[in-house]
Amino acid sequence: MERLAWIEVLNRYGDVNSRHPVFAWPTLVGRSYNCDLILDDPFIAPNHIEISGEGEQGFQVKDMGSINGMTIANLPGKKTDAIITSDDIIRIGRTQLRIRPSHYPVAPETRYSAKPWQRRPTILLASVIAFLAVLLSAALLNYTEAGIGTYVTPMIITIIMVGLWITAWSFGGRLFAGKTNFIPHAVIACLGVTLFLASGMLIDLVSFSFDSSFVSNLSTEVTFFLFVLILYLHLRLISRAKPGWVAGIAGTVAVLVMATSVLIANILDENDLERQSYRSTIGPPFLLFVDGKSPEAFISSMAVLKSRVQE
Amino acid sequence: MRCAAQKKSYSRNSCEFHRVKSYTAIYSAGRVSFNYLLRKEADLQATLSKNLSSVLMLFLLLLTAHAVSAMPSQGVAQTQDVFNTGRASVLQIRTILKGSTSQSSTGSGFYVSDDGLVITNYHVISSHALEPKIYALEGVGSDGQGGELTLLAVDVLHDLALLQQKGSRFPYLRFHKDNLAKGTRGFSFGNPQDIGLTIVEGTYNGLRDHSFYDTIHFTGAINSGMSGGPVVTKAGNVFGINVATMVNGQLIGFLVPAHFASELVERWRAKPIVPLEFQPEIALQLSAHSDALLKRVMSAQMPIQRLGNYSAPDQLDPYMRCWANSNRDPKKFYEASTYYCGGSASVFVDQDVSAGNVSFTHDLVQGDALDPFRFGTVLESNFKYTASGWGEGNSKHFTKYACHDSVVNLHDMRVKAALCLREYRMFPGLYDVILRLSTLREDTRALQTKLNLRGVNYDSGMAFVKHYMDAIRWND
Repeated sequence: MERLAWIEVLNRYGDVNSRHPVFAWPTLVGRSYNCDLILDDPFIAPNHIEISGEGEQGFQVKDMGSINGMTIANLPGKKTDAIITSDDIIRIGRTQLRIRPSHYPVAPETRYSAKPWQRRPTILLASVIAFLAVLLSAALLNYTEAGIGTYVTPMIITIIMVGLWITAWSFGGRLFAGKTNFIPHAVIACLGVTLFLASGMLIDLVSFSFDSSFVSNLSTEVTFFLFVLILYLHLRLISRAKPGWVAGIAGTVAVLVMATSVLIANILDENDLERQSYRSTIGPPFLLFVDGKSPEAFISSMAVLKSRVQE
Repeated sequence: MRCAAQKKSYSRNSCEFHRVKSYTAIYSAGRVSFNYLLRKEADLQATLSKNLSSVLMLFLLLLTAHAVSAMPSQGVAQTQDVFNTGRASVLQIRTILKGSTSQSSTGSGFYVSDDGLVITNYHVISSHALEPKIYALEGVGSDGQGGELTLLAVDVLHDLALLQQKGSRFPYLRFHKDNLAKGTRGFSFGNPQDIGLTIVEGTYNGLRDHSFYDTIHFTGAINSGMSGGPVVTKAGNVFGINVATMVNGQLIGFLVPAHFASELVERWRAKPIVPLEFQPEIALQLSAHSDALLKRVMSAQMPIQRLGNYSAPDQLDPYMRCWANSNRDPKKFYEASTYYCGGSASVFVDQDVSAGNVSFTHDLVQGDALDPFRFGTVLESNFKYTASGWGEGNSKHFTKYACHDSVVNLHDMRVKAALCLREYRMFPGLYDVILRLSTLREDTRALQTKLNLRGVNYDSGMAFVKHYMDAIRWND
């Protein structure tokens, strides 16, 4: 007998749980033993749907008179009769089905790469090393008095925080996508923190070198962008929503988090000088590439501040 | 409530004057917190705190507090005579929260005319002068009779105020006109710690050194609550008014010379007009004070000191005092020499506010054991904003600081500079100015300097900043 199609039973994440061949149309799906595909789902009728052969527009699916009915994913309301394609998902009871004809095209074979640097553990190792290197250089920059404890403690705290972050995302992935994806989450987190720290140091240094408040003001935008990017990548791994939606959620969360942190900082520093109101980064003199203002110009530019204070 | 109030009183540590609301035990607790706060500010300046605290003075105003003080007994017959002559002329001045009968602070005062003119310290009545709708004044004589007091005039610079009680035939004190010899005995009246009218015998010790305005140094056990009380000769004539004591001194007290009080009375007699509000008047006086101060320190050529290869401003005026300290912590890969100059020019305005002062700190930082990047981190930690050193006070009194920073060329030497400004809400046009500089001439050595101007006019403040920056240079 010629095999005409496969009926795929999907789990709630959309992954295939099992496949059942179809040798003849129509094929009956339900809970009773006279069906061609028997599903042990209490919310499915003994004879729930009948799928008939492939026409020009697709497969025809007919509800056989169930109580709970049948829906097609992304189409509104219950259907008694529907024409579906091989990418549509039928929902009956708590079960999702998909029908794929035997001639359904599949993607070409992915070449297994022997190159070690393209393997996941290697990428993870490289990310972790980059993360630790940036963390260490930040600590070394502050190593101006003896006593290792002062420098190691913040490093350890950062490492623990990143570890918790990765664990939380992996756990979320397990929960929402059925996949832990530990290594991808770890790579995103390590590289993300690396970029955070490195971009901060770079911005400070460039802002010092060119005495440019424009560059130093970029740090908020860069931080925001990196935060959205990291959230987006993590969210993509744990959700099947469309990229636009994921980006929207990542942006919203980032805005909320940054607004909250600004709010908290304002509450805590109510009467204090705003911490970033002047740039305090001091780098090596040989990295300062611009000439200074005259004292007169420096002092006269205070007139602007005088009016700002009065507001 | 009591703890909160005390805490507030000790947070004015960056100001040279220290006013105490309560008794010695609490006060020494305050000193601990003072030292602690200074250490927190910058490790470069840690050792300075000792020197700074030695000039702290405490005002003798007694804010509501309940404590017992033991006064040494004075058993001299002459003291009794002076007391009996003077007692009727001295009164306790209470600041009352309107709508209640509770006093929020007490001080002392005395009649200077038979029509009820009363002299006291400005700081005794400052709450009323600045917030007349909230605070009222009441005078209580030695016989326990109370009467309402009206504020007529203030002299913020010398910490004096002129009040009037309605009535006539008040027993008043006369001012002593002639100069006194060092060692002359004096008798201070007042109501210390709100425990009753007291007389304290002490010694006139001439004028205090390092004071912007003349202040008498008086050796005697004057205490909180005696602020505004008269100090008389054995003939009973007033030569000074109790104003402050030195924080960690023994019996070191300060008096306002009486001629400032008699001048205030004469000014009032010549032009007896009571302003509706005292704030503008106080603002004018503060503005005149800070202009006079800055003019005086800028009149002569800027004194210069050499720090390594750098030149920087030195003691600007005899009223200023400077200290130097070297900070060699074997744990640190750098060392810093710190020079601090400041003085007691600031004028008390309100509990958390004083105005009209110049102080500056130079740090010569050497980190030859460090690479230029890490040395930059050291400089940064001293250059950036830190919790203290910016002047306390809440948003009721000050706007937020607004700052501006840039690389600046000082005589062909590049420095990183930041200038910050905040305005006094009660006295528009009066500013606190902060300048911070860090030189960028050498890889692992730098001069860092911090200049604090309190309560100055914008133009004269900026002129001084320019004057100050011009004095910083590199010498080959």
